[in-house]
Amino acid sequence: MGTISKKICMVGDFGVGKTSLIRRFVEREFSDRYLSTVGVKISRKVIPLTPDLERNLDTLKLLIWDLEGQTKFKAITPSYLHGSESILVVADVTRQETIDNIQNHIQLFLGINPKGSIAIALNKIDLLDSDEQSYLKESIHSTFTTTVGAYFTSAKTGENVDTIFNAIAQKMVP
Amino acid sequence: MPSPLPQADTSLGELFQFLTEHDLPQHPDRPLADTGAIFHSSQPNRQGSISDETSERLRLLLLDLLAIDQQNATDTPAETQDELSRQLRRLEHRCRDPRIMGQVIYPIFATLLQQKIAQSPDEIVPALATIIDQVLATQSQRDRTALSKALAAAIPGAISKQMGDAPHEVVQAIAPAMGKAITAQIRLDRDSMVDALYPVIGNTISKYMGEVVSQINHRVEQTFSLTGLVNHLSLRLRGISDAEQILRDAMPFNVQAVFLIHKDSGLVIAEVQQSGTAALEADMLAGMLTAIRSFAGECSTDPRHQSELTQIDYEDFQIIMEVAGYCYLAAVTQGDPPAIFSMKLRQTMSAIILNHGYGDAIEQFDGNPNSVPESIPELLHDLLNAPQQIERPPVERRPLPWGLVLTLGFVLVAVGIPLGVMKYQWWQAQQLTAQLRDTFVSTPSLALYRIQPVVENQTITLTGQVPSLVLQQQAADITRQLAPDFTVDNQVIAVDAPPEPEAIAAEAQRLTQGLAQVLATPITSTYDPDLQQLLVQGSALSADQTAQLTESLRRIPGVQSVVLSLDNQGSPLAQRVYFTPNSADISPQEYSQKLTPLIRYLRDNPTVKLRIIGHTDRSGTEQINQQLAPQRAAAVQAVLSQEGMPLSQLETVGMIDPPPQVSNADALWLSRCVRFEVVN
Repeated sequence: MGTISKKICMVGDFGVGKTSLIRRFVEREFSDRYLSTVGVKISRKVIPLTPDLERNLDTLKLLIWDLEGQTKFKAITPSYLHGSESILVVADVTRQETIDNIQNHIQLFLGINPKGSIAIALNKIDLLDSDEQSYLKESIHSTFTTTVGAYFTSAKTGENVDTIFNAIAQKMVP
Repeated sequence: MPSPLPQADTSLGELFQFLTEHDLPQHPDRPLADTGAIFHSSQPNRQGSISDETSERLRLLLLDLLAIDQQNATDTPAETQDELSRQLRRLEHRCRDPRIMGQVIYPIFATLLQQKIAQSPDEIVPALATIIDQVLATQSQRDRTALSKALAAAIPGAISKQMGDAPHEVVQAIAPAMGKAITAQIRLDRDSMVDALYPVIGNTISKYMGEVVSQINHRVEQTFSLTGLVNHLSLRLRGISDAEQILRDAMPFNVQAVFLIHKDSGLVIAEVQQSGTAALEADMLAGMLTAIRSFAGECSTDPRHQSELTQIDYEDFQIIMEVAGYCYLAAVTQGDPPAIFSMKLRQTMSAIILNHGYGDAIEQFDGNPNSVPESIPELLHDLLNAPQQIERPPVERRPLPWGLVLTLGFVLVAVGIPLGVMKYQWWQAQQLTAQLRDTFVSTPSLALYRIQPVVENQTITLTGQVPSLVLQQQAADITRQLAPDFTVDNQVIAVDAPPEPEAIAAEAQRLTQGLAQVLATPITSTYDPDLQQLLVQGSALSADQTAQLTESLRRIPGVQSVVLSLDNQGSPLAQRVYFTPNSADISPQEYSQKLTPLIRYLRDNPTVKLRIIGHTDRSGTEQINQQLAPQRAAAVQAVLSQEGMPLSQLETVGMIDPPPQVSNADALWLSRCVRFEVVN
């Protein structure tokens, strides 16, 4: 049985927790020290698949490209998005402007790969209390039309982290 | 009947004394009176074991005490009982008061602890063990210096011990800090680190260099073999220097791994790696390479011209890339990549594109390795294992190009015939030269002299030296006889034979004496026949006189050189009279030391005419110096005139330049002078 490889890009504004989500998913670790990603960092995670006898595959190797977060001064380098079948757009639920920017990131990606699948991680949900969470869930949920879905995640607690990555994997290798 | 209380006291005292003396034998000389005992009359066995007698006494005492208690219960008044219970409570209270207990125990606490430790260390150790780390931690916070001081002596020993018992643990503990420690030490004292590492690094490098040098040696040896020379020629044609090639061979080129990478996604389409080496992480490497390529592309200064990243150089390996439309090849290589490798890379890339590039296999690569055709890894394997073998297109055997052959033949004939003629002429000239040499040697009159014949273009040039014109002519005649067809260029020099040394010496003597008379000065000469040198000694002469003398003596045949040893220093004419700045006054010292001997000399030689030349230093203005220089000469002239020298024989000159042998770099005072010249 073989392994299929897929590239996936993490996009979003700076400091929304892209690197932390990867660390949680790949290394099962979380650190609240903020380290800015410069350029791009690539991580790898092997996910077992339900064996596909027809295509002779039983594992998926996710190559996760952690792109430098977008700032006012520097946009995301579009060429990094080439060849990526899906992206994970990350926003910080405590910073409204990062949520506002989600649509821009999606447009950028669809400009490069119109058939690509998109997942949205509304991260740092652990920083909101339960009332705020439910309010946010109601107000946001219908806003985005994505192919994979929008999830409230927390790299700190691990909430929905595996779920969102697995959902993307499922979408890429149906 | 005695009062019960004193009786009770007595009994208690006695009991106490009894117990104390048996329990505390270490205080045998304590006075019994101190205890308030009554029975101090006889205690024969008090140092020994408890005898029957004492046992009996103890029994009686206890009985007494019991009796007192009973009596007290029945006979004593209520106050006594209250008093007793009060006392008892007070005692109890005291026992429970930690402050009082502390005061009681304090003086003997250390002794108690020591005794306890000595008796049963096993009980103390667990009690202390639980807090010992906290003790250390607290103390290290409170007074780190003191704790450090206390532990300092033990730590080296502890480490050595642990190194012996569990070296691995110590290594594990120290290892992470080693790098930082070395860095810190280098920052603190670079020289000591250099000294410490010097022997190791030196050896390592020399070992490595030794290997390289031996390989180079091997190559050099090969280079001088026939195949080596052929290789050398072919390298020259390709513009590669020997040194470059030798170095290339010493650090051989090899390919560690080859990856075919999807250009957009950075996913690995196919990979091959050398077995035996640590495998490279293909996915990560490919991803990073792709990211770097994208980044380099983004940063490209000229957007119209898209240029590709083709090579990344690390210190000891390179990543060489060949890029096509949808994929690129990346080869991880070691050593200097030869030009042929990039050809091979291109060839492999072409093969991949031609066979698979425009199907789905590469363009639509979706990360599934099963969709990659098997021929691709085969191609990569070929690149890995034979990186320098190129598949050359089969060459058609064409018929011999007759035109070329004929031209070559013609060239051969055209060049070959003149070459043959030249070769024959050269051989002939050699023969003639040898013949002439033999003849000169066998001719008795010429045998002594080395005459060299050189045959060139129908001309024979003779060189050498003979003592007479006759012999010079003879050499030419012999040559003409032997080679009548040749022109003879006779460059043989007829050198006059030197006269006898005695004759030279006599001639020199004669001439010297004549000159001595003319110059009115005593001169003698000595001839050195070995050096053909004439040594002339005498008193001082003017520059003109010296030139005249030398010239005359040089003309004597057989004298090659004339060495003058004239006593110029002592001569009063050679002295210079020095002046203080901006002054033409003659100091008394200068007068007595220089002018007085001069006056004496002039009186002895009344015919001598003097030129008195005044000089100035360069410190003053030119105008002042122009006046001062002749003033100084005039001052000396005045002195000499006063001493009776006729003014007609004393000519004065002023010069603002420094005197001879003094330059501007010398001290100024050397220029402030008057000097003398003899005028003939």
